[in-house]
Amino acid sequence: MALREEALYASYRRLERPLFNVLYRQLWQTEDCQDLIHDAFMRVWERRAKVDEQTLDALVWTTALNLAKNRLRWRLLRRHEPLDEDSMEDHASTLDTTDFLAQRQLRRALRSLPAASRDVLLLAEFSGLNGAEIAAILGIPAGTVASRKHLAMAKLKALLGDRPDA
Amino acid sequence: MRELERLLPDLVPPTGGLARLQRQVHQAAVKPVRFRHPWLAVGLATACALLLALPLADQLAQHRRTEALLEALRGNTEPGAIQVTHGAALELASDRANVRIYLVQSDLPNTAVRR
Repeated sequence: MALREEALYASYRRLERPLFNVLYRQLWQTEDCQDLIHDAFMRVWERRAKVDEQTLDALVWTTALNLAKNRLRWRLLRRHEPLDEDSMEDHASTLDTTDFLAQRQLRRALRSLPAASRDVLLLAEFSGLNGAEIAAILGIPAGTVASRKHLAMAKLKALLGDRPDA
Repeated sequence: MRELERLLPDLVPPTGGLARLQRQVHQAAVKPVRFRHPWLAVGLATACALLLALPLADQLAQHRRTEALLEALRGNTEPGAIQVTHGAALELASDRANVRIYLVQSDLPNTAVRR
């Protein structure tokens, strides 16, 4: 059955926030995230005749993550470093100076994680999906989700300097 | 990791995303139908061009042949070329070195060919 317009908008309402949280921790730029979410939904809509509403959310996640991957690759090729520190300050406006510095450190640590592990960690933190759903979206075995998440957390902890309250 | 949870707060996306999507979906609905597969359009255009070009190329070749024959009829007598009385001869391509092929056109019932 073809995708209906109302179903697309309902999916947007459901996924906009988790998608934004996951993609922001990859792209670190608000406008890029907004554009990417928009593009992901438009791509799905363009293929609406072949889209099953039952698997719509998973398809949007897969499309958005692939677009983010392409975007990061494009930045790497063009040696494009986004000026995102200001926008990051917007989000970090509620944090004190120590927290802001810690968040910069966290950002560097997240960037240094392998993309596969970072995807799993961010999806587990923000998507609201369970392990099996994350596995389906990323096209990996369910058991790998848990192991990648564990490894990502361990590496992140090491990169953050193993703080006592961490 | 408590610190991780604190440093990765749940962010609220900027407003207006849904309205933008709705606008774009409606704009897409009123746009003229585009080819879903651009390569199909390119293929069709190429096929049409070939269909037109093939008879044209044939006609051009025939025209060149006629022109050459008319030129010969007008008395083109190159040294060593075949001479035709009351007619003309046109040398055609031959794939064997010891064989020469001529297209001979006469303007009389009995044509005399002399080398």
